[in-house]
Amino acid sequence: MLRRRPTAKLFAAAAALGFLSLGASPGDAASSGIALLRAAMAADSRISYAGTVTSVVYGPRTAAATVVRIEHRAPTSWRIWYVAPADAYGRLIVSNETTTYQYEPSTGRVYSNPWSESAPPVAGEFDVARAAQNYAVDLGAATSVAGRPVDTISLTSKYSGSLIERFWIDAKTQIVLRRERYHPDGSLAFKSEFDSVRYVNDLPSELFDLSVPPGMMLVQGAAYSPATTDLTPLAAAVHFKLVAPRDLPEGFQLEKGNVATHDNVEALQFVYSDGLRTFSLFESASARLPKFESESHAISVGGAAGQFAYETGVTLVSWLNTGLNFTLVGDLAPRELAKIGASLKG
Amino acid sequence: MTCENYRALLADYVHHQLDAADDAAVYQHVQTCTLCRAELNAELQLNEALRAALGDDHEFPASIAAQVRLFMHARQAPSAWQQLRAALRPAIVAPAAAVILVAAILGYNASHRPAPTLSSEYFVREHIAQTIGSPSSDAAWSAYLLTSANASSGSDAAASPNG
Repeated sequence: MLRRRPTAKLFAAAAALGFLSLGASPGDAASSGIALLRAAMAADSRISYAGTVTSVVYGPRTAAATVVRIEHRAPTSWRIWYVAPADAYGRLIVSNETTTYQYEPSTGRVYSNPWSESAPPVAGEFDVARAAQNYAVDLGAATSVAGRPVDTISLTSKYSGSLIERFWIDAKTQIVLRRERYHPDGSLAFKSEFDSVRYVNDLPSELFDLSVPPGMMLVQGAAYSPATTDLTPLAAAVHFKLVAPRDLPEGFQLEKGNVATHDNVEALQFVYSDGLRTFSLFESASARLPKFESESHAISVGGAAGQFAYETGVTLVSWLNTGLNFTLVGDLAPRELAKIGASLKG
Repeated sequence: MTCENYRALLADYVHHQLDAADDAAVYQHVQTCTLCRAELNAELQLNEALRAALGDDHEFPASIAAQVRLFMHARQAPSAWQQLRAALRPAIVAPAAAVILVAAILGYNASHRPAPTLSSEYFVREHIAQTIGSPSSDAAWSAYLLTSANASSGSDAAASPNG
């Protein structure tokens, strides 16, 4: 679940006080940036609003966008209506951060999912301290988004010096009104922005009722394997010997793992993060490369012939070794993922 | 047309492969002919058995299907004894043919089935499901992908009101 910790409110108050001392020194600016980022990540637990958000995910040759209408009643009620793309038009998501209902008017079905598998299109849980270990958090110039004055912060990798993400944060409410993510080469990976926002305290609770209208049928949404931080049982749960990378990019560490069987293929997934970016390593009992949805290209992974592709905002690198398929998916560049893959060892 | 002629058309009738005139003629005949209606039911059972064994997304080799149909339809002109046996035949031959065909198809598929593989879509979706709460995720886009997976799954599994 993405429920914020109560201490987040204290951090928000601390951040507000922090604004009073901006610009005193580089060290002060950094700590103010971190405090503002922390406040921003906790803001939706105390601020109610309604607005329209456009998100664009950029591929090598194409871009894809979603447009959603959001109504949020703090701390935990969400109502999200998809305006675009066309195949999602009319889709409605209502959540109380425990259970999420996805209404599909075109099919008359209501899909029920745990909250963690269908979080709302706003900032999720963010380990700010962890991110601050790996990224320089710098305050930028004040500007405006959706007619609201905002402060900006930039997150730059302390290891590569690359700008990775920028946030535009409402100066009064600390809600993130815009964000941009960049590839290591500086190109834009995605952006998400409020086209309009209105802060409200009178959204009726009926808007957020989890109910099934007459004529619609409640069904279970797609199931995902629960992840665990205890990896010992994972090794025992699969019928092949798992391997782990010896070399991770600086700042990354193993977060969690899970085992799933899909189309009769046993697959192990490990999730790694540096506090901001993530990637998954899949080891599966398949002696074939995956069927790529988009154009794939050849890449060598430790001498093994592999393929890579950019799909829906992430990079995939896949190759075969010892009768198993290994696939890396995440925010890193193909060559970075290939380097991780080349370091795999049992 | 004789019953033999009609029975030769039943497999195509079941698969909607007849032209309108033959389709109507077979339909009218099986309304009144008990033996041919039994043949039709046997053909339908065969189809169901195949569907249950193979699923909707499996194609079975046309050559095997043709041989089974020949096996079902190749008969001599019926004698009185054969007509008596014919009354029992659908109940015996059709299931037997179904078993033979299913075994043949399963054997064929086992020998021709490609090694299991996953799609890149699967890997992306699983990655997003595990990281949607992280700051690296563009949650509007990620939620769209996951909810689209729901919408295209066709799942009809009943859920409790409390999820």
